[in-house]
Amino acid sequence: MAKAEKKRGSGEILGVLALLFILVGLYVALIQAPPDAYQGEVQRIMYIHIPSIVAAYLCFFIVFLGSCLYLWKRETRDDILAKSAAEVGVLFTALTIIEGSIWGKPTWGVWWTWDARLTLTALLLMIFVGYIMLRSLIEDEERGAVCGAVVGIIGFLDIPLIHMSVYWWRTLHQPPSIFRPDKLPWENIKWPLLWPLIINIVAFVFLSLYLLSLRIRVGETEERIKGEMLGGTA
Amino acid sequence: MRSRRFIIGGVIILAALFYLIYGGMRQAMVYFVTPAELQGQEAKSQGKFLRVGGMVVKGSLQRDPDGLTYRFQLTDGSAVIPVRFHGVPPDLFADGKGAVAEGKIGADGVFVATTIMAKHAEEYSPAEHGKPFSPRSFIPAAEEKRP
Amino acid sequence: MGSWGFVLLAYGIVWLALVLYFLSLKNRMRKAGTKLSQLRSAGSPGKHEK
Repeated sequence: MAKAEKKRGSGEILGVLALLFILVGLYVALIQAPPDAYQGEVQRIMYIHIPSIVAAYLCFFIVFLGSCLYLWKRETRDDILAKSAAEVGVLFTALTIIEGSIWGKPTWGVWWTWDARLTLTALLLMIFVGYIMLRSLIEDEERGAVCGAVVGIIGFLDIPLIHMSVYWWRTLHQPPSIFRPDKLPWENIKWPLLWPLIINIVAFVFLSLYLLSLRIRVGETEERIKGEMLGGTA
Repeated sequence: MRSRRFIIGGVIILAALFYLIYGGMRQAMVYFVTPAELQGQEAKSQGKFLRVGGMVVKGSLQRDPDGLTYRFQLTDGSAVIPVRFHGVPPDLFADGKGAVAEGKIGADGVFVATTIMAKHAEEYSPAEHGKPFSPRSFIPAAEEKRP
Repeated sequence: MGSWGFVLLAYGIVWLALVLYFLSLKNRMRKAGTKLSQLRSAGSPGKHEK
């Protein structure tokens, strides 16, 4: 019980940190940061677009870890972690695509186009929506967890593909601005626009971890309900 | 045993799905062709839906008096292709910037675009202080030359 | 739609979705918690039967 209390406490700390960074992040993104020289005000969408995909990647990395651990040790705890992170990851991936689309219309001129990066990101969303559907379709707990783990690991492998797509193929989407080995972030994004982005990335990382901690608690409670219904002392 | 059969079924479905996406990806892999790749292939490519990507040749962008027809040239540094577009281009479409045009090559060798997309660099910097930002600040080359 | 229109549309959708997801998690948590305590209070005599 003490362990659960401690877990809950650290979850609340994540929530407070997330809220703090979200408020500062919104202020710097919408008010403090200057408009971009080339794109104008629309560029402010970048302050949620990049943080959203960072949060999504983080969640799917957690799915990957949880899935590997589950296949190795077969502990329900790891499966709950993977299942929860997949749900939060799907939310942030969907948000990334929506934000990108709203940004794409005024900058590129189209809401959507089938270039490699966009196609692979749509695939990532499809894989993990499929993961969630699969989990709800399979009645058998253990079988569902194993199938989920396999899909979760395969799905995660799409992320390096998404990241490299802009180098390997011709795309409409521009190459990365920050996560690249050949250039430093501030060479691509000038400081007045870079630090608001960093604050928002931190905010979204805290927020996604906080939502994940809440989702894990739901999963754990559901697990206890199953235990009670089986008449066990779980 | 049943679980193994289920996994095999799942793998087959996944493989089919990936095959579909792979087909789509092959299209995405050659998302656009460059003017150099199109050079000499004009007759063969006529009437085919294509995307051509490159830079708008500086000074080539002209706007017809109707205000809706744009003529410009796209280049990849080695070859140049003339493009005609009727419609409203995106805000960031401008002289000397990257663009992808969707459309077909006409009998006269001019690429008739139905959609223009602006491709932009991964660089961001604050607007210069005191200068109000105007996305449509590009002036058609024909007007620019006027004294 | 002006530049700010796109910006506010994007921020609006994102924060609406995030708040709704947060509320749905709280709701699921509450429902699951109630069910668990119901099961626990109703289930304890049942266990003795076995």
